[in-house]
Amino acid sequence: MTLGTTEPVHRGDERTALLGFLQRQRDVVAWKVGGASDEVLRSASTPTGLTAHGLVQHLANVERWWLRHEVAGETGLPFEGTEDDPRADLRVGADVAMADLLAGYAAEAALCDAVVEAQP
Amino acid sequence: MDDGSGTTNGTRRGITEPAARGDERTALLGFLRRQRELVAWKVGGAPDEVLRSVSTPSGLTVHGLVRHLTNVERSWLRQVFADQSDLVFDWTDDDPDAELRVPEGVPMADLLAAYAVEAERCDEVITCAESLDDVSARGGRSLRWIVLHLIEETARHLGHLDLLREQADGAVGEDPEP
Repeated sequence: MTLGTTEPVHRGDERTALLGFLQRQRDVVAWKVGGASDEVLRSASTPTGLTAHGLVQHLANVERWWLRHEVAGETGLPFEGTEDDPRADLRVGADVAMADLLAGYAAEAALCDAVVEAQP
Repeated sequence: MDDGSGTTNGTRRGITEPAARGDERTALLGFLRRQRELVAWKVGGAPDEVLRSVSTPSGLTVHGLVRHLTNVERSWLRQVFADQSDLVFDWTDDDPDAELRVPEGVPMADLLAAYAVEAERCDEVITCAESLDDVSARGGRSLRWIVLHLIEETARHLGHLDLLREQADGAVGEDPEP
């Protein structure tokens, strides 16, 4: 463990290594956006509109889609993006705190890991 | 043409499409190649001076990132894993970030050509190994770990290149348009 982020096992089997690298990316996302106030994070965006809050919400939606919807076939899952507005997950309301987005991302990650672990 | 929808890596709009149902080595190679090709696509079609017009406050540049990725592959696969000798790097013990600073006279075309040559040599290391469980000559890491790390590293820097290119001339996008 370095700075509280996952170090993927150096000589692990396929599933252990994949889960380790995925968790490392999630940990680094949370670390990268941590320790700054919401208003500071909201002060920056790219010309096309990528924001720190939007990217975290996007990643939570992407995991939910690929692992719970596509792999596990779960139904009735909520997504921020819609067919008419597939990029809506990248836009976060001004009153939504990063802490809540990170908590949502962590909860989604646990559910998604369970899908990976449940595969034969 | 193979579109990657089966068990072998394919191509879509000039970029590797990793096999939808490939075995582990095929999938890892497919995803690594895809990242490298997206790097080349992302920095392509702009003059050197436009690419050189942007950098991050801490000094990341488009040219520097491409040369960094080349050095990183050489280091992890040919030095750490395969223990090849007489390898040349753009960094030094005294200046471990030197590869990130590319002299003005070096065109992107030359950096991309070197990256492609390095990629071919590194792919050879991956395909010639007996197993992804093989352990590196130095540092005790499996080949699986090293390739996953290179995918992670290349993808992260590709995100930096996305932002630098947008800043340089407004060009955006995840992969080539149809």
